[in-house]
Amino acid sequence: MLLNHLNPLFIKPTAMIKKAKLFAKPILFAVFFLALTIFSFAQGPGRITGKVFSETTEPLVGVVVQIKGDKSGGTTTDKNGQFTINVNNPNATLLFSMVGYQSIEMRATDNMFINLKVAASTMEEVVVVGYGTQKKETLSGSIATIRSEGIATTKSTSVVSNIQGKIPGVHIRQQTAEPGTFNSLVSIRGFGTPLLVIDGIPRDGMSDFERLNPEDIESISVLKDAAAAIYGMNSDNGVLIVTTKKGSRGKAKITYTGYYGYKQATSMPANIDAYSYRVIKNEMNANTKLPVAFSQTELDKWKEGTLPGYQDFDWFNEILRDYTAQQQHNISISGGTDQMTYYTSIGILSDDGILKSDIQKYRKYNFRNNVTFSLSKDLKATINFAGRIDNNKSPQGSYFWFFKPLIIADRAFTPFVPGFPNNVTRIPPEFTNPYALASEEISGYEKWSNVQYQSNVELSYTVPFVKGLRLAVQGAYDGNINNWSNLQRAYFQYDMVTNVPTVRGVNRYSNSMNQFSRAVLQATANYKKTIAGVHNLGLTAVYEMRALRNDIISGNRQYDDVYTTDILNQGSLTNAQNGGDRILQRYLATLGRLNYDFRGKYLLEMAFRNDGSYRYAPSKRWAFFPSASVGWRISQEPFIKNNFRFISDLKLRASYGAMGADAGNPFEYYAGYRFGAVNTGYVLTPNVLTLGMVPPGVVNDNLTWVKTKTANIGVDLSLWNGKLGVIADVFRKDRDGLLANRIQSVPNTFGASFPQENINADKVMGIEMMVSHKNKIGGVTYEIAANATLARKYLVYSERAPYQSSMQRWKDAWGSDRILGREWGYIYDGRYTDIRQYQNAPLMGGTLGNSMMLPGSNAVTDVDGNGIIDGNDQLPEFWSGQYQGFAGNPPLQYGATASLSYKQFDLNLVFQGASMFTIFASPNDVWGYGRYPGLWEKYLDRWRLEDPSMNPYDPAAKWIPGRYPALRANFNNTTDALTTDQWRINATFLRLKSLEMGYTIPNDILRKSGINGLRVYVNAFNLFTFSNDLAKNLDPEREEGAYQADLTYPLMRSFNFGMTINF
Amino acid sequence: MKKIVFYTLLIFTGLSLSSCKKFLEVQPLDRVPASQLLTDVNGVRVLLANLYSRVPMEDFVYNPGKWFSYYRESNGYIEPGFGTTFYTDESTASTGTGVGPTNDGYWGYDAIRQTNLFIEQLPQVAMSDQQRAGLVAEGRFIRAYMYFGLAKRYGGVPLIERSQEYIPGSDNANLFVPRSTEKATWSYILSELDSAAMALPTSRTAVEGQYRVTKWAALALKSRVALHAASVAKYWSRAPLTGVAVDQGLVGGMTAADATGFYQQCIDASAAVINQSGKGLYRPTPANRAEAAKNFQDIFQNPAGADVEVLLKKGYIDGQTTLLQGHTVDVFYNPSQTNPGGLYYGRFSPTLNLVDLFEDYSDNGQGRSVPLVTRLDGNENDVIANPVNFDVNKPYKQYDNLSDIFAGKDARLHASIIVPGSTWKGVTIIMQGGLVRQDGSKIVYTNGSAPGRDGRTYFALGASALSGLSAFHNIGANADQNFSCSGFSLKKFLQEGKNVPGFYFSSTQDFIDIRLAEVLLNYAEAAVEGGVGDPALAATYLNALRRRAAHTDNIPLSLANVLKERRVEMAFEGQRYWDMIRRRENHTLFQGSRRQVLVPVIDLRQPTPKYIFVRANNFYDERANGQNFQQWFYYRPIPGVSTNRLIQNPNY
Repeated sequence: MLLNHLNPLFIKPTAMIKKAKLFAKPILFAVFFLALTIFSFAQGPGRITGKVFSETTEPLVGVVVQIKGDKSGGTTTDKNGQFTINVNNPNATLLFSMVGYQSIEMRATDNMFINLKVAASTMEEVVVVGYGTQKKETLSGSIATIRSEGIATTKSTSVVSNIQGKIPGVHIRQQTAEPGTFNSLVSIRGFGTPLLVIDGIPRDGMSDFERLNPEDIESISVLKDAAAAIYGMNSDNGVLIVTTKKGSRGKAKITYTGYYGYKQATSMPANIDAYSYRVIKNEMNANTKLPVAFSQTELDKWKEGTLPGYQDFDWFNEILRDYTAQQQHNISISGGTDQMTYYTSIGILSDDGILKSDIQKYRKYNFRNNVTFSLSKDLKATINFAGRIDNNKSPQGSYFWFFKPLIIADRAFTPFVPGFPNNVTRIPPEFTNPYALASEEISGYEKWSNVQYQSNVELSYTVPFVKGLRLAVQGAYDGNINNWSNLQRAYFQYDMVTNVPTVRGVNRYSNSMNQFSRAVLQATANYKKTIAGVHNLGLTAVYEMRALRNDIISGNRQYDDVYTTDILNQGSLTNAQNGGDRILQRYLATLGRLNYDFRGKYLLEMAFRNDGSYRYAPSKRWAFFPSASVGWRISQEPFIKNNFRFISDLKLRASYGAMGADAGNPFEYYAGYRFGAVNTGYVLTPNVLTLGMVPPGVVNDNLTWVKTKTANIGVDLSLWNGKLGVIADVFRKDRDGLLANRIQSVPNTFGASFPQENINADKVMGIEMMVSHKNKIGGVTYEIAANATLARKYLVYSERAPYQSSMQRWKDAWGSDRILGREWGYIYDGRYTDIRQYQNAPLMGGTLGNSMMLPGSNAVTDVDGNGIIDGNDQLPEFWSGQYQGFAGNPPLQYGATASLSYKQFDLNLVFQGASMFTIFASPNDVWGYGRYPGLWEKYLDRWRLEDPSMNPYDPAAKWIPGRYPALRANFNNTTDALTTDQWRINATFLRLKSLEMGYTIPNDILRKSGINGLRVYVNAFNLFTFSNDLAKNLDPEREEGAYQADLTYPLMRSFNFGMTINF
Repeated sequence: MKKIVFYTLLIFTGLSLSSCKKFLEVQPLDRVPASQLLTDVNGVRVLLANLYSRVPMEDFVYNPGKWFSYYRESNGYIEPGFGTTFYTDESTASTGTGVGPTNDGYWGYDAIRQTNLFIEQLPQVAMSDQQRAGLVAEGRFIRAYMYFGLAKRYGGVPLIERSQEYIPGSDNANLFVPRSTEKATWSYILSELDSAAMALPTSRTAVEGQYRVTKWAALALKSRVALHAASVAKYWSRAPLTGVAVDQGLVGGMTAADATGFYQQCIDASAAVINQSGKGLYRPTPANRAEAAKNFQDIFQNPAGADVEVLLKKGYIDGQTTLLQGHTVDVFYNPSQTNPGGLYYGRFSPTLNLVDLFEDYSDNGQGRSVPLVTRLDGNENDVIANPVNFDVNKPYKQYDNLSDIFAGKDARLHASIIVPGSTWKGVTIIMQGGLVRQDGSKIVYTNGSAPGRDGRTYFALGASALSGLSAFHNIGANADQNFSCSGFSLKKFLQEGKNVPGFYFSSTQDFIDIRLAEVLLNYAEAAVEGGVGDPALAATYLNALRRRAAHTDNIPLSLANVLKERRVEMAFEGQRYWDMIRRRENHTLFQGSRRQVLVPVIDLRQPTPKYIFVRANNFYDERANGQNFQQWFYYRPIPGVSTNRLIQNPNY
């Protein structure tokens, strides 16, 4: 029923978006509102009974139950958590309160079930850790937690962006905002991609995490140090543990959350019009000593802009939207009885691209159903099921090859041949047409759909005859079916002048299907005991099996003249191709943990894990990972308690542990023949290709997991009952046995490729800190927190071919004993302002000497002082932004959150930023000047002649200075393109990641509507950025992408309006 | 009830713990153990296919500037491959290629290791001793071919006859095999080919695969290798070098006696092939020149029909159905006017140097080349650097038609090269480079038109539209160099009757690696150079080739005659480059030289337009200041000397 209401809205969202104007959006919510009111219930006055539980469903004794506004005192719950109270007013509100718990208001109904949450301020908070939970106060590892309220303050299409800047030690960089692309870089303390655990089961990874429904998440725990070692071979980069929401006893609680937003690119350059470009082109040619490209008569016609063929066409405006839309809606129902609790939710997200052709669309549907049954007093069954369907459609080619032609398209060209509205033009220099590339009808599309389900069933048994012993067995089965297809259509492009057609592409449909499954079985034993009232003991033992399987099948066919539909069978047989594969993986583990504390003061945790991986030779399969941590709660000591009462909590922590990474190609120990590529086949008999099998290379019986040791020392401090909080950690992680192929010491006459071996080593060292403050002044409650993490990686040993010279060794940024991420470049030393300076300036080298240099060119330091500027004058000057072609997470990242509430208003701010990296604004890239018939507007701020008719090489010519050197057709024999801080720009930034202002409508107003709570808010994401202007124009957070060309899909700034309704 | 559940849990946990070891035993699905593969002859075939594909045959998919089996760059870019011919004075590509030595970096030790493994593992396969011996011989042939590929590039190389074992963690000193002397390397290859020839079958059935080697292929390859070794031994001193590699005999250092010995081996191997293989020349006695030309063309456009002459060939599968297993000769090298639809085409530009070598049929019994007649004063040595500057008033001979200048030439010229004005695929191929206006001014290397005295309009490049011309367009430009830059285009190997689609890798005609004609020429050269064998027989072999090209005279055996005959007979077949290398002629003939082109020019000063022909240097060679071949280029630099501890060749 509910879905039927929703469907018309979501089947054709684009139609909606097209028609709807910004302020027509509330209509959408009104429809939801109506749809949802059917779930509201009537109620009456009289004698009210109910039960109050803790979050862990223990009955709570002594909870004070009062009628709001009635000062008479009310009642308290009995030993079963039950209460009875008389109310006269049918709309009375009951107030439940108890020390150490958050107070709660509920409308009085009969047979109430109330859950009280532990108050965050008290130290009773329970934290999810690996294979269990622990009280926060007795934690001795470095574990950060964020709860649902904290996640919800940011609104974006990815959960990763929702937590960005909020958790100390978690580095996040969003590489692109391309809808349906989830490749944000997530790294705990700069280690690399962490392990993702959802509800106790290791799952798919960061892309899976990004696509979770944020509304379903109860909490996220981040295990940053040896606390992660309990995950053994997978824990090397730390662990993110997601716990999803569960139901609690009580009447069905229905919650709607949702927002609708507009978004725009944070960075989108502007280029200059066709006339200006031609004027500048002449300037470039003059500066490069090339003949004039456009005659004055030609220029006059362009300036006029009226003659056919002489009109400017603004490709950006015609192809891209200024704004696009996103929306997310979620409905959840939770509740329960003595026998059963449930949480069910359905979420929908839609995200549209910035192309006017409307081809780019991403849709996601999440479903989750978490149910817990109490089968008997001691036996509990939990069944969690989550499903997700998401699908995406985008242009047939990649965005890189879409943006490039768009940006370099000569604005003298129109999408269609004038007079022939169906003939798309063929636009030099790439001979493509952005309009055609963006059009599904003309060039095709790329689509994928993904169906995922994750399920787990747990049976847990509290052993009645051994107090404190709990046994559980949990099975999980996850599946993922991915269907990818690409339709490439051949089409004619027409010469804009002659209308002569040229065919582009071939008609080809490609389809691949990928079926993935994961089965996990866990058996757990937990034992808790307090001895003599002071020794608290906890034991955990787990046995875990994991089996993964992936089946892949793919095919493609060509279409002949007729395209019917995107089904392989509808293609032609002449060039049909197919492929398939199957991958099996198996893992086994046993693990154990001991927790001990003495009076909650001296803390000790010891754990081990024995891990087995199918990947390695039988003798190398098993790994043992021990870890330990200790803590001292100094604040519990009498000399603090008695003397420094303002110290509410002070804890010192230290941990050390061994971890691993299940790395390397599987079966390196196995000598077997493999089918080679097609060109290792041979025609032995006419017209028959015998595919060749290639003998095994060198096998390596010794390949094994990467060995990691991690150490952490930290302090937790809380003063004046949480008014000031500080958490600080220093950490170090050493990895040994990183994979590399043997290069040294083996001759190239050996003739086989070497297997991966555990050769390289690196280490990461860093510090992280979080400072928080919360208070209440008058009616204003506020909380601010700031965090920063600095993590630097050193390459301890890198397998290299022997260096030929000490210079080569010195210049190898990837050699041993190097800080990772330094980039070589020249030192900018101001500018030459007069052409005569070149007579004494260091030579650029080459046969032309300095004869191509002009005023405005960058001066660079001649480091070796030999009078010639060449490669030897470079120094490791810069932090890079990408490592070996891939975007990296900057070593220093920081964030801050602030929340404030006053009466019904609340305000949330999230700042986030990063430093110690650069972004490369390559002067040679496609935007650049000279190579392509397009120019960024920013380059107009250049060194130029006062009198453009003069010869630029005339010493008498007067120049107007600008930000950029004189524009040229090429940079040969100049310093202009050398890598200096003029092009490699410090990208340090701080951005207002999220700003949310909400208003909770008072309950008195809602009373008649049947609504229990309603909050409306406006939210902005990526609202603004503080950084170097040049970096800002490229968006410092976004990756430079292939060729460092900044042609990835831009990041987005969004403005959202939304609400949360409780029934 | 509770207890039941508890014990169930307990038992379940116990069970899962006990099955632990087996659970991790996953078999890799993408590889097959030797024990499974080496059980029968069919399993052996897939191993052979891999080894054959690694043979360094300089075939249609070999690019001497890149590598063997050159298909495309990682970024999708592709450039024409095809043998070493572009690095010689017989042809260039219209992009301007081959001004330096080839640089393929061949270092086939990976394939040698795989071949060693193959030979070592054969005893595991159940088969007859004879079958096994044949397969071992096949492996040794393949390995010898690989060592030949190394020896002719580097001189003496490490001879690794068994697969080596790498022990991780040890110092692996046993893996460092030093270079053998050049003489030992050549001797090793020759003796390996002898051994192979002894056990290889004399023919192949369809079941076995016709493209597999026979005894005769082994002996024919031996003939080639021995001639190469002998020539190096004899002429090494023409390009003397110094250094450690020389001192240790790793390069050069062979005596006259060594040369004679190698020549003798060439004679023996050649004679065995000629006399015992049952092979012969394809259609050795044509009735007339036209038939001779047709026969000669057919050998290459349809090698399957000329099997009688073929000793070793490579087959292809259409790249449209099996990606990367065809070749692209018909696409890259069809003249522009018959471009089958590819992006790159018309790029093969045979030189005037080669064209001039061909005889006519005046049958003087001397076998002298008859250069084209462009001048009335007989001065055919007037080759100008840039035809843009040619002097219209020199006594150029006037021709009525473009093709008249080629009338009466050797059938092999017409079978190997498309000349201006000739008919190809039913199209008159226009290759013209300029125009002389009525007033004597001229347009050269760029298109433009002028009226003739007959009132018609003529074009400098022969046609107004690009589709109507095949040469000299875009000379020196960086784009669309799809037009001959020499005034000639390739005909040998191209299929005239079959329309190949304009896709990459869609040609499937076989590549002939060794044919009997080469063996005959090897014999003749060994006889005349080494003073071994039977000179009378050698002369007979030489004249048999000429007879097949419709010559009726007999020429005497002389070095000049043998070499000239070799060039015209074997043009573009990958011989010329290695001939220049083994005979150490490249640094004297090639260094600083420019390849020549023929620029047909239409002369509108005459009442009816006439054609004149200007001899000029190749634009690109001129731009590169001639070709560069230093005397140490004969030995290529050994790759990886920083780690393999090998002694580097001189001057690197």
